[in-house]
Amino acid sequence: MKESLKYFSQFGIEVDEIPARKLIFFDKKKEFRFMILRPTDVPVYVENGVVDMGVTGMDIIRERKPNIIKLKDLGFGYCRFVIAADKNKEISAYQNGMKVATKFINCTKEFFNERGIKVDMIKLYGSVELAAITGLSDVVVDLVATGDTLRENNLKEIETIFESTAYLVTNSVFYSLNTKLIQQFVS
Amino acid sequence: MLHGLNEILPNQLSKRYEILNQMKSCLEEFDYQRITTPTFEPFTGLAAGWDDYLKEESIQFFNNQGALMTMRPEMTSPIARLVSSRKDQLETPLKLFYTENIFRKSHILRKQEIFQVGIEYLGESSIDVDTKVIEVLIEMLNRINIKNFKIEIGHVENIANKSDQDIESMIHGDYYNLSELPAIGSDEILNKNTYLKQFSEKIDNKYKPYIQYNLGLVKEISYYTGIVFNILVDGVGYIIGTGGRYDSLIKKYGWDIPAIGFAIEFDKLALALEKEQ
Repeated sequence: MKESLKYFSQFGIEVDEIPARKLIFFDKKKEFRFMILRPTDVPVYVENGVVDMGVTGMDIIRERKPNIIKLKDLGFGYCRFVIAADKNKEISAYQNGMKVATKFINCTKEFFNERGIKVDMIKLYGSVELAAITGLSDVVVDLVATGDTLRENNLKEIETIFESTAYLVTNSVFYSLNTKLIQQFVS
Repeated sequence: MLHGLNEILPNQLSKRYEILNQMKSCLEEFDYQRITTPTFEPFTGLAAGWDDYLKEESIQFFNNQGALMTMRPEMTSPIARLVSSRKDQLETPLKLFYTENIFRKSHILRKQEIFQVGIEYLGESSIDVDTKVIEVLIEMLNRINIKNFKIEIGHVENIANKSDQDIESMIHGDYYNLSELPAIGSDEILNKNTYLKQFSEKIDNKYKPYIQYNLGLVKEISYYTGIVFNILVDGVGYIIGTGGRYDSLIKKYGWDIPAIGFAIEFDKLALALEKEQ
């Protein structure tokens, strides 16, 4: 969030210290209202036009495919979407019928579909690494920033599917009706 | 409540009928006649003019003779199919309107059953007809007292010379991929000798405050061949209605006539009205 606010500050939008647990706050000039949302929820709010602009990760955009306009790669929030397995397990090629655990069902499906490999998907909601360690799945697909968590849990990376950073996004109708206002945040 | 299907109680219906009747009487004053088509029909006949998008979005099933049937996912193709099958009895230009439910696969933010009000102007392809269609749309929206709306107009020729990748990026809203952002604005953004320039010279000045042009406007449905447009309302984050010219669609159903039309999602329009009041 700090980086998002820093991005907007270059356009003269300044924000005071944000009180803890506050979900909605205004900039100093009271021209812009900010909302703190989970990155996964940002596309939903933007698509519905409840908020006009948002900052969220390309990983989430690729997973949810929201009908919104993606304006600009903001460069921060870097992470990679990787396939990983138990470091002692020999994975030379992806097999049909392989078990894959992930939080990101759509991106994972897309990846294996493109390769023509039919896998069994296991949808998890947290600590995906455990699935590979315990043998619940053959491989896991997850987001990593540095890869330290994987290594500390005795997993090895097999392949990077894509890299992700934060993007500035906007509602498409709002964009059409307020093009000049929005475009000033892109330059 | 059944997910994504229409259930409306009497007390909610009276207001809707009031709005709907205003829209209908406006269209009738402009000499549009109401048409109705089957809610579902054989897939092979109806899908003759569909692209992959409509095939993917339509709700299909087998009837008890094992024939593949489809619910109508929009009104243009069933009307095209119907008028083509009766072309000997019909004279062009044909000015039709409809108030019907259409059916699409469920999405998070979309209903399966969508009540649409729309028109089709068949049998003539000219700037004159295009301006008339935009005018009747604006008249109809004014009639129901919706305030801050804009008809956003584009033309397929604006994107014809773009690369497939650019068109793909525009459809998916991947503007970060575009070398330049599409121009959006009023008359000043229009280039000489373009269709939209001629259009703007033709349309009555009193309609201009309701119109803006978007040189990057693209549609997911691929049958459009000329002008394309969306209906936008300030403060409402979704498109209320959409339309355009499709001169080679009806041919696919057996009658080689041009056409233009639009469809409004009535519930979205009603919501936008509510928001304004």
